[in-house]
This record gives sequence, C-alpha cells and structure tokens, in this order.
Amino acid sequence: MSLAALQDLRQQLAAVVAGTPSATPGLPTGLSALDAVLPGGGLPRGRITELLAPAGVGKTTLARMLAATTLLSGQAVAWVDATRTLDPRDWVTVDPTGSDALWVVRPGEASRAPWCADLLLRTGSFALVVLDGAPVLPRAVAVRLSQLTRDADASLLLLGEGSRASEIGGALRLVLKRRDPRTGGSVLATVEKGGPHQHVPLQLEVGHGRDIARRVCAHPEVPDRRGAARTGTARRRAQR
Amino acid sequence: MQLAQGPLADVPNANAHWDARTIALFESTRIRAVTAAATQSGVRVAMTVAQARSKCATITLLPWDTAVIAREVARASAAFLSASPQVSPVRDAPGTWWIGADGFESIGGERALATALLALARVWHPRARVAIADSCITAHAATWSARAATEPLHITHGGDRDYLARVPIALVPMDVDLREALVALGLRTVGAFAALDPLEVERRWGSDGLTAWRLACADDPRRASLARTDDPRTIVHELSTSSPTLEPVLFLLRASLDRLVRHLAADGLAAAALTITLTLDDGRTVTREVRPARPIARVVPLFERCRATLDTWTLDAPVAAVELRVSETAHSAAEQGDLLASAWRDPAAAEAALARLRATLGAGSVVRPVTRDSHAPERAGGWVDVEQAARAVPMDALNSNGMHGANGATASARPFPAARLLETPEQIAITTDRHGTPMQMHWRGRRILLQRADGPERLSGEWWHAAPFARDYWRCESDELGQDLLLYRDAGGWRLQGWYD
Repeated sequence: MSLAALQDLRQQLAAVVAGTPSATPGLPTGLSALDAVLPGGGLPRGRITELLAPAGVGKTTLARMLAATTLLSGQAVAWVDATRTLDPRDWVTVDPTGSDALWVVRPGEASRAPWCADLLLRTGSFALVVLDGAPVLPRAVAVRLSQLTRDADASLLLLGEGSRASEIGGALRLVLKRRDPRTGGSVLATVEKGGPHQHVPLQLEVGHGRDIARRVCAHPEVPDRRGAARTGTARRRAQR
Repeated sequence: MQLAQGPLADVPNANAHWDARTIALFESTRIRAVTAAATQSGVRVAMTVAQARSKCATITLLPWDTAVIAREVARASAAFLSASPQVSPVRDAPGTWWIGADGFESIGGERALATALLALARVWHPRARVAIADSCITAHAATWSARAATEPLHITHGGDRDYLARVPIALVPMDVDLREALVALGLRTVGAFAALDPLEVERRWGSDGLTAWRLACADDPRRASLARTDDPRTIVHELSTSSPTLEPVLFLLRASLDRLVRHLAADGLAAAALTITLTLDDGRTVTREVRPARPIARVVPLFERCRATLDTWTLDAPVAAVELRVSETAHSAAEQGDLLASAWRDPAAAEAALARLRATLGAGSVVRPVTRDSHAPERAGGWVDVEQAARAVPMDALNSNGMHGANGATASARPFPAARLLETPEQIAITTDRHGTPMQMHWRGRRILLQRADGPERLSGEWWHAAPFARDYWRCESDELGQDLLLYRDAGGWRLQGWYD
C-alpha cells in the first residue's frame, strides 16, 4: 500500500471516528477547553450526546451552562426533567432573552420522557433538547430519536448516571469524573465515544456557591447549635 | 344575485325587482345588507333593526340566511363559468366575483369577455356592472364609476395605479380606524395614500397599514380561481365497523386534513378553527372545536392539535362516523421562515407540540420557573404552567448573578452550581457523633457513610403562616455516592432535601 493510500485511509478512518460532521456548527458549552475537543466546536448538531456522570459531579451545572449559552444565541431549548428534581430558582435567570425560548417539561412518569423528547424534536423548533434522568432508551426508541435529531439538525443531550450508558450508534459520549482540584480542575471530562478520545480538565463548582441560611432566627423547637459543630469534624475523626 | 322568491312573495310591490324594493337583511340585531331602494330611504349597513325601522317604516326585514345566499352565489358562479374558467366569489361580499380574463386574445379579447359577463350578470340584476383591470382592487373601484353603469369598463394594461390615484380612499379595504386616521390627515384619494412613504406607514399603522398601502398602489395579491359549487370545507367518513377507540378516527382525520388543507392553501386561506363531529353508535353526535392559536394552513400542526383534542376525549359509545369541518378560515399569514437564521422556529409547530404535551401529560407539565417569597428552599421557587407564567425576573437581574457578562453577551466560566431538590424532602435515619454531627445516613434502604459535614446553618421562618419551620441544615459529602447532599433536621427528624450536581 502506497503512502498516499495509507494517508487517505487514515483520513477516512478519522472522519468515521469523529462522526459525520454537521453543516451547522456545534452548540458552544460555555467552556472553551471542552468546546475545543468536541466535534464542531461544541455539542454537535444532528447527533445524540450522552453526558454521563454520577450525581454530584456537575453534569446538571454543565448542561445548564450549555442551555444558557444556547438561549443567549437566540435559539430555543427544551429540557425534559424526568426526575422532577430541578430547582426552579436555578432556572429563573437562565433564559437571557426573555423570549420564552426555554421550555421545561416535567412528565409525571419518567417513562414518558422519551416520548416528550420525540414530540419536541418533531417540531423542529428547538436547537437543544435535554433528556434528563430518563430510563435507558430501548434500541428502537434510540434509533427514532437519533433520526429525529438528525432531521431537525438539533442536539439531543441525554443526562444519565455513568453506569447506565445506552448503546446508541453514532452518539457522542462524554463522561465526567470528579478529581482533585489541585491537579488543575475539579472535573475531568472524557470523550469516550463518537469523537477523538481525549481528557479535558474542567473547573465546575458544585455545592459551594449558594447560601442556604438567608434568615437566622432563634426558635425554641430546635436547639440552636450554630458553632457547636463545624466543618470537617467527621473527617478529622476518621483520620484519627 | 337573486334572492329566494318565497320570502319575497308577500312583500309590497312584489312584481318589481328586489333591488327596487325597500328590503334589508339582518343578522342578530344588526342590518347586514340593504337594497338600493332601502339605501335611498336612509337605511345603512350596521344599523340596528330599530334604527332601520325608524328610517323606513315600510321596510321589509328578512333574516340573513347563509345557506340561501351560498346557494345563489353558487348558481351565479356556475353561470359565469360559461364565460371564463376562473370564477371566484369574493369572500364576505356576496354579489361580487373576481373573474379571470387572461388568455382571451384569440376569442375576442377582454372586451368580448366583459360583454358576455355583463349579459350573464344582468339576468341576475338589471344594473350589474363589469370592469376589467390588472388587479382586483382596480376592477372593483372601476365598477363604482358612472361609466360602468352603462358599459363594461376596461382599464388599460399598466394603468391601474394611475386610475386608482383619483378614486376615493374609501374604496380601499382597510380597518375603520386606519381609514378615519387617513381622512383626519387630509388624505381623500387613493393616490394621496399611495404617495406616503411605506416605512412611515408601517411605523405608524403596522402590517395592516402596509397591506392597505400596497392595495392603494394596485399591488393586490387576490386573484380569480376556479369556482367550486360543492362544499370543500367538510369531509365525512363513515367507519366500516364502529370503533370503541379513537385510533381509526386519527387515521381518517389525517387523510381529511390533507385534503382540506390542500383546498385551503389553493385559495390562499388558513384554518382558524376546525370542528370534529363524531357520530356514535347509538345515533348521538358529539362535537369539539379545535382552534389553533393562529390560522394555520399546514397539516402537521393542525393534526397535532386535533390529536391533542382526541387524547382528552372519553368515548361512552363506539364511533360510527367522523366529520371534519373547517368552520373558520382566515387569510394565510405572511410569516416566513428564514433558511439562514438558525434561531427561527415555527410558532405553529411549537404551539401544536405544547397543546399535545398539555393534553397528554396534563396542565402544568410544560412549565416555566418563577421565584417566590419564601425562605424554605422547596418554596422559594416554583414551576408555573407555561401559559400562565409571567416573567418574574427583570432582564437586568441577569447580569448580577454571574451567569452573564455585563452586556449579556457572554456566559461566565464560573456559574453557580445547580441544585436538585426532591419534590418532598424524604425522611432519613442519621447516626451522629456526640456533638450532633451526621456520620451515617440511611436512605432508601442504603447505609451511606458521610465523610464531611458542614453545618449547622439555621433556617427558620413563616411563623406567621400555618406551617412555620425551623431547620438546621447540613451539607454532607459522601465518597461512596460522590454527592454533595443537603440534609436538615427539624422537629420531625432528619430529612434529605436534595443535592448539588
């Protein structure tokens, strides 16, 4: 085999690994380091993307950033909250255009979530549809959603736990893992499937940005123990 | 147009032509149409019946009968079809037709057509008028000239705008308020209106003003088309066997919509309302109306709306037949998608999806976030139905939370974390050390070791309501779950409220 033929074969292979590039640029995630490794400079259009991470790593925060960036560009976003656990306070300010371009769908049963995504994709009105916490998609449903995503040139983002990845052909799989912040980022994002295999350290703050106690009041029913037990006592005890 | 002879047989002077008798047609309590003789007596359209009687005590008042008028219009249209293949009765103006005059060069030209039409029309009315022009509005205006009363009037090709320039502005169809505004500005002729700057017209009176301005410039999109004597707005299907479910009805509705929408689109119309009538096995009929948020002339969004209606329809007997009728039409909107604007979305498709989601999942399934005046996390925000939601947060608030830049142009790299809140905080069992710090948690049958616990943070309030609360909040980390958990303890014990993700 000649060198040129080998080069050609490598290019073809790279194109297959990277997936079929959409004519539309990807949706920027708002994190330039992550955008740099994603095909199309962001979440790819016309494809399904799986964002997998255990709870607490920051996948909701990342997906919300993506939604905010998409809304900022004037495109519509639909979020199917199958677990019905989104905190509305986090979402009040996410739609910067004020044009009602953010729809949050909260089905009563998680099993209806894929149907919601199907319906939303069929409208062709949404650049980003997030399927959050739905059960693992059966193959037939995944194929149909994949087809609809391609037809609508939209991005379908599946949020799930790491152990529940579905085998969707042509999908991009992004896995988030928590890491030590001292090594240059609180979260390590890995493109596992559907693109060049790469690791990207990301800085996502999870769990330390909001004050719970906005009002302090002495109340006789529960003894006020502020200051009596403070940060890290359990850990120190474990170290001893 | 010729009215039915039955009701007129008893009116005074019954041998005279109906237009020479004082007759008015009324709908509800208002006059809708009057004859020439009634006009001379001072009776006008839109008067009340009492006002009409006060103007002319001998006036004959007949109810507006849509079916009779439609039948007579169809008969007249059929007669005109012998002269031209393109005959369109004018919507909402019975007695006026647009008739195509193209392609008559080899068979006598437009003048021969006009003469033939006049002969046909005068069978129906002795003072019928015919005018030929490039645009419908010019032809209509020309029929009001004195010359048209004696012979067909022919406006030369390309001369529409010049002809219209001299005619009164009242001959341009437009909103009453707009007409009054133009008259108040001193504009009396169509030419004066057409001379206005279109940008200025649009700025002052919007798209309606611009549409009227285009008409004043003889830019009229209305065209004659083939007349139909049947009713293309209703399709009835009978099921071969009665069905206890609505599944077969859906298939029939889709097919009916395909045909109806094709007819509508050919006429430049859109469906503003549909009526679905089901005939049940026991002979009863039930009817539901489907009214999209705006007139649509596309099958898919209309079908989604129909399906949303059927989803909520509980049958108490098998269905034997289904009738789909376009009960209300409107001119197709001029809204146009932009291939190059990726943000453009089809409002009709989105509305249809919204209706379907609401019909299937119930109201409150498509929601928008709002903030509420409470300190308890589960009550400090809420989801409200998308149709009832008001924008709770002003736009300038967007720039103060770190999510967006000062000019709203870029998203910050350090967003605040997203929380997940259980709809109802779940009771958990906690093992604490002697200082009261949580060490272990039992939740949903699992024992979870807590490596780190921050707290307590006291939150209490709403003692002025029926359900006051006092909680000590703890943020706990578990290496096992990898989660940053939000727990609290109140008088009822320990509860898990949510976690950050």
